Amino acid sequence: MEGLTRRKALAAIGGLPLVAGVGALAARGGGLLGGGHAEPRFQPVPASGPQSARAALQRKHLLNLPLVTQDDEMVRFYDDLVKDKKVVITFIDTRIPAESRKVSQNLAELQKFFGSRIGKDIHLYTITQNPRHDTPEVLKAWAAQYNAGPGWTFLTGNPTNVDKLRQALGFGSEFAEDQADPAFSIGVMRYGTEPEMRWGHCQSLASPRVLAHSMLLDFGTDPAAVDPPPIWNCSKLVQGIPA
Amino acid sequence: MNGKIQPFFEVQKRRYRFRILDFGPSRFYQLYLTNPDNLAQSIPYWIIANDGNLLPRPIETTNHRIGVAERFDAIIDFGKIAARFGNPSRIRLENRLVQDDGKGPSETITPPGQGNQLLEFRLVGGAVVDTSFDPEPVSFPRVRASANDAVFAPIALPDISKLTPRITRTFRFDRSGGGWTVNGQFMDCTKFRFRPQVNSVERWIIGTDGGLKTAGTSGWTHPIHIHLEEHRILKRNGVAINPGNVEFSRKDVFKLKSGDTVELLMRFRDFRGGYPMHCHNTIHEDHQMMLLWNVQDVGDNITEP
Repeated sequence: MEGLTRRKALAAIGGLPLVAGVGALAARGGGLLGGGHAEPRFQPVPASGPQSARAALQRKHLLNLPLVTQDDEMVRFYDDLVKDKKVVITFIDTRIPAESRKVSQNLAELQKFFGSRIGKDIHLYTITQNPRHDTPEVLKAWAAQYNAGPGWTFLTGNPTNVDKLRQALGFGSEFAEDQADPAFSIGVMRYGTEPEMRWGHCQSLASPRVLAHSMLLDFGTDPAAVDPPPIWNCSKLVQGIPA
Repeated sequence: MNGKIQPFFEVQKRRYRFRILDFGPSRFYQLYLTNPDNLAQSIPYWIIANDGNLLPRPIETTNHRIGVAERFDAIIDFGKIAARFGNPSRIRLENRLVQDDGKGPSETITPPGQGNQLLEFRLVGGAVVDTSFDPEPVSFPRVRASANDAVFAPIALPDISKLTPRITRTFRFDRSGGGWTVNGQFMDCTKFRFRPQVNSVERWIIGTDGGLKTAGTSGWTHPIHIHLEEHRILKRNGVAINPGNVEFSRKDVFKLKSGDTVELLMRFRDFRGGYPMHCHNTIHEDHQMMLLWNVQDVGDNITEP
């Protein structure tokens, strides 16, 4: 075997393991973005009374608590904001401006990405985690800074209710170091399609294009159908276009 | 185990080779052979391969820790177990490493018989002829290991002592605002973070919170997986990885405990293009604890991508 290295041996048999690896990656990239999904991949679960899985999920996570919008309107979280909708939920605290500005800028970008879908089938919600300070007036001024249109709603309310909702929606953490971080919940973005019981979450402070990409996967839409069309294509990148 | 809860497997009294994969998503295992009818016995087995490759010399051990996505091949010699351990009727594969949360394993090893009972081997029949390779006489530490061993693998590992890295890059796998970061940045699938040069060698120093610069002590363990070429680990926490260590081998994924630092050598020979490095705790991977790099004709000089 003198002079034979494993590398040469692999080359002699066609380098199969490495080539297979690249193929698998390419296939995965194509699978994520390739083709549109005209039909939802998961069928809606019928809301057949209190025993249904959908109702159980609502009771545990989508609490139907009263909140107040930036326009001083009283709404119920589940009935008015989430039921039968695709939603994106974030938290801010105008007293923690760095992270709150970044997540609001990201939602403003998502508002542009999703264009006319916002307010029709996709709804953006920004809830304050500091309702004592962030009154409807404060939120209205904040919303104006980010050109929030119809379909992007800012919410405050009774501090106990807001905190219950924040925990129930999974914006809390079991770990002490996270609980000690006042900006922790602001760093989380949750998105979901309520009738399909499909929920996900990601870092809210990442690049807005990455957030939109995560959501598109779950919202089951061909990226090409988005108005305006997105400029990115992750599968192409993974296959290796030059930087 | 292979989709079944605590299955059993009838074995003859001879050698078997097993391939063991930690399928995840987040659990680390430390695997022992336990005789449930005599817990005091310390039963050896032989590791002959890890990740994608045969080891240069078999390693004898009574236990081995495996992280998510790591693999190792073990030879278990039920003939020797029957002869040396009182002809037991059953032997169990047992995980004795305590891990109670998703952050990673504790350093607590349970007493024998009190861990997770994964699989039961039932030894059946009498003595059988076994002409397969016996790793014991040539195994480390019975026999000294050296860098140019080729005892079980047909060829020795390449000599890396004369390779000169073109650049040293540092990567810190960490956590920020509830999200996973590498060098303080979230994953961006639209961006390559650095550019290795084709046909070059690079030294990568990879750490997690507390290990590199940060004072974080959040305590997360990450199995780090690098695509494209396999790498060679040079040092773990400053200590050289020597022959006889399972990590003295080609690797494509390694354990990184909170505070750990691993120094490794990467080469970029066959392909240009984009490849990822990511945490293989699949919960962290799904939440994009990852970065992308792009092998090109001209590399860059970013030391903390």
